[in-house]
Amino acid sequence: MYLNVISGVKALGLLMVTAMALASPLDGQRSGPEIWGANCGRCHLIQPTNRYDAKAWEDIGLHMAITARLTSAETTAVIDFLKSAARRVTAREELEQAEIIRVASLINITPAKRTPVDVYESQCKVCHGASGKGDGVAAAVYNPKPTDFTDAAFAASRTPEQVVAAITDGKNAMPPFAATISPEEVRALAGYLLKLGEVMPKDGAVALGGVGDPMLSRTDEQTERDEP
Amino acid sequence: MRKRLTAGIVSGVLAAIFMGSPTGILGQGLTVSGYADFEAVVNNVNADDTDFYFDNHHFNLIMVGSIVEDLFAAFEIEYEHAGEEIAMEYGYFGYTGLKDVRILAGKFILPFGRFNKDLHPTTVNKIPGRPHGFRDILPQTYNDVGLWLSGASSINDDGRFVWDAYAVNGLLGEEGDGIRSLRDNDREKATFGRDNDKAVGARIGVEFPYAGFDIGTSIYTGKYAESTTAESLRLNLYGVDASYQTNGFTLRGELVHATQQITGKDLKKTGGYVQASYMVGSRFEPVVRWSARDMPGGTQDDLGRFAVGASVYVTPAAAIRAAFIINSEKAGFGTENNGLILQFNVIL
Repeated sequence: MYLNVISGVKALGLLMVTAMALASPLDGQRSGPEIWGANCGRCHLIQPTNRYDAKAWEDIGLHMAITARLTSAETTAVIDFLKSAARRVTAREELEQAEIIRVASLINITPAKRTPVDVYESQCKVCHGASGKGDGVAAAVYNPKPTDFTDAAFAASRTPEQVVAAITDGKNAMPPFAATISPEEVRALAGYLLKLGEVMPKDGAVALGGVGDPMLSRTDEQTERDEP
Repeated sequence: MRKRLTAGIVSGVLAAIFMGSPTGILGQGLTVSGYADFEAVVNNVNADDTDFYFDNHHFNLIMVGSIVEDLFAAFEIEYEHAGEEIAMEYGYFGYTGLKDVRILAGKFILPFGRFNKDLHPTTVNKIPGRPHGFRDILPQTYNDVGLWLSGASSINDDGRFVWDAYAVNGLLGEEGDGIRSLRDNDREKATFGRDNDKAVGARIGVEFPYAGFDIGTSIYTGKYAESTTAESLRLNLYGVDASYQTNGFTLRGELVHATQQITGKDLKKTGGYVQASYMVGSRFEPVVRWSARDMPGGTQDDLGRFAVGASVYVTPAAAIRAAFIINSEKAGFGTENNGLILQFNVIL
């Protein structure tokens, strides 16, 4: 019996080593919000990002990453996201956050240009839902609820500049995304979201990718006029 | 003069220690969180010896803090049953400086399966109490002192391979003892002393969180006693766990099997559960769970348990929960030993 157990442990070890060897080194392909929504929500309801301050999220993230068995890259991405969206407790933190956003916008830390669909999938879907109806996996924790982009009133009541400002600086419980979405991508995303209400049926049956070329949206036309 | 000299030396040493300390120790402090619950429990519903009581089952504090970069400490202090039981559930140092591998040392909850590891905070256990198999076979909550390596590697963008390997002091007792009493003996080293044979264990699994699926298998092996002929007697635990989530529906299950050596033969024990829940909207979640165990003592020890319950999430961090638990024994389902639990739980 003892030998059987040892053999079993050896077989388990061999299996483990084989699986590790087959594991791809690819990491960090998912965004912080995606990792947050897909992993944290598996055991308990998603907690609002502004429930804790940045220090608390960092500590909690270190501990919970072990429970959730995240990779190093996933851990870094989700902690960075939670810290960016954390409750601000001091005026100094407000200033620091503003400076981080300012510097990030200057150096454009996003390495490659993404389509609005890519950005939406990685940054927005977790709260606003796969169909843009404001029913993502993390939507339940927020009051007010995440915006329903398919509601015609959304596009009718907002200018592109207002949408760009909301994405860049954050609004209500939504964190600022200036550090993770480039200004160019923000403009394209804003146009995409405003267009969404015109084509998305209320039942959300059309996939987001079918909206069309957002680069031809009125947002781009307007923002281009604003640029020197 | 001598007192002044002593005071000066002490002050100097203290100043040197603190001035030379990493800023993390003095400057960052601990993040304090935790969880708590309040329960109203009725055991033996419809029987003459109905037992009704209130319980402040958990009021547990969790503290986490960075020490220096890549090194942190985490510990949970349990105040259970209105403070009647006070213990450290876990307390470990974690090193995160290696890519995809964490080194943890201290007291930790063994990563055997899912139910043992993920029992707390209370809100994650949708039916209050343990399913069969996770008390007398896997002695939940099984925590122990040792070294733990935990790793995760991306399989592709959507999944990861996860593994845990650990060595701990191990369960300890007398030949043929119940496994849960081995855990309790293990916590009272003064009674049983320590042996030099460490228990080892591992869990490997694959997870696809974006598809909502994970599966893993666990093993634990260690000497738990010596026979009358000084032969080492081992306890081996094997487990399989899996879960699937989609659109608010969650299905999870777990199986645990033990072979416990006694002189001349093995005692074989098996238990497990299947649990299904569905989130209706964003606040209401009904749940059902079936669990059973198969023990070597005969059919009187072979038990089944069906539990049905529901949670109302007042906030994302607080739930009101009710569960009705129907126990079955060899005579089939009865009504005399059923239980009802009403619970309010909160993540602090």
